[in-house]
Amino acid sequence: MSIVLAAEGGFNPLAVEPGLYVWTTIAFLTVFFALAKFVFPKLQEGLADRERKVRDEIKAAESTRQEAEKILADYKARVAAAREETSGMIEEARAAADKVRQELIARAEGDARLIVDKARRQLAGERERILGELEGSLAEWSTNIAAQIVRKELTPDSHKELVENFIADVRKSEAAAP
Amino acid sequence: MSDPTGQGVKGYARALYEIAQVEGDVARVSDELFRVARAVESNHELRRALTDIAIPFAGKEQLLQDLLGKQASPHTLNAIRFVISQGKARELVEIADALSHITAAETNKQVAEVRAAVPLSTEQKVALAQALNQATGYNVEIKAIVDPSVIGGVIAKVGDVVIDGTVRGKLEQLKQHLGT
Repeated sequence: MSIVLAAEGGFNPLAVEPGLYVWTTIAFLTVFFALAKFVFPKLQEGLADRERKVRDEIKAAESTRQEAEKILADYKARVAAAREETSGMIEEARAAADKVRQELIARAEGDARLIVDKARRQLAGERERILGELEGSLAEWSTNIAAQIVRKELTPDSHKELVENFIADVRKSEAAAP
Repeated sequence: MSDPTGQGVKGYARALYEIAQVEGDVARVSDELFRVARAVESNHELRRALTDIAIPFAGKEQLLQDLLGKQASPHTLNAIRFVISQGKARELVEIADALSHITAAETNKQVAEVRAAVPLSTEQKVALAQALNQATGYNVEIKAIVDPSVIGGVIAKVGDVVIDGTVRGKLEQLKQHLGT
């Protein structure tokens, strides 16, 4: 409706009017100076603060990164040292275990030798004992049988002869005198 | 009660000797008691009968009378009764041996305990006594014991000296030789 009115000789927005132009320029400059006086410095200061904070944060981040890298390097060094130390300990433990194993084997071999020697000695002793008992039993049986035979064979005359032989032997044994 | 020092045994033997001396029968009592001791020593039943406390004294007395009444002198029987009545039946053998030694010592003699498988004749005893006198230097009194375990021959013990001429002794030597 308004477009129709303008075309029909009403208000033309594109038409340059000097008064409006001046006032518009004054208003613009007023606002501009007001902004430049009061707002822009604040904005500038805010931006500078912002930039400083960002720089500080970047710097802090860099510092943190460097510190982290340093910590990481230190950690890696420690891990490496620990690994080396662990490796040494494992070697030591392995050597100690090997030594203990060798000692145990040597002790077991020694014990085994002792047991075998003892068993051999016991066996030899047992053998000697059994042989001794057998010899003793054999001697006992032999003399018992001999005694029985002699007892049967002895006559009154042989008894008499034994007694007389004894008397003769006693006569000869003056050396037995105290 | 035990008598480790043998003082009790010697005391009883000395008492029996004194009694026998008063009775004037020392040699016979000593000899018979020695023989009874050998019989007690070798006969387990007799030893048990004399030492068994369950058998009353009268029973033991009757047993002695039955065994020795006709052979031994009354003095010997009285001596044995005395020992048993004193509760010393277990020491009868030791007392008899001690009496033999006292008797021999009182007559300056040494007891020769002679064991043979068969009884020795009087001639053999005399010859053996002479031989032992000569060999040991003692004036020995033969106490002969018949001991079948010697098998044959004679073993004589005079004090600490032992002269073994028995078949058993020779067999023992043989056994030792075979056993080693």
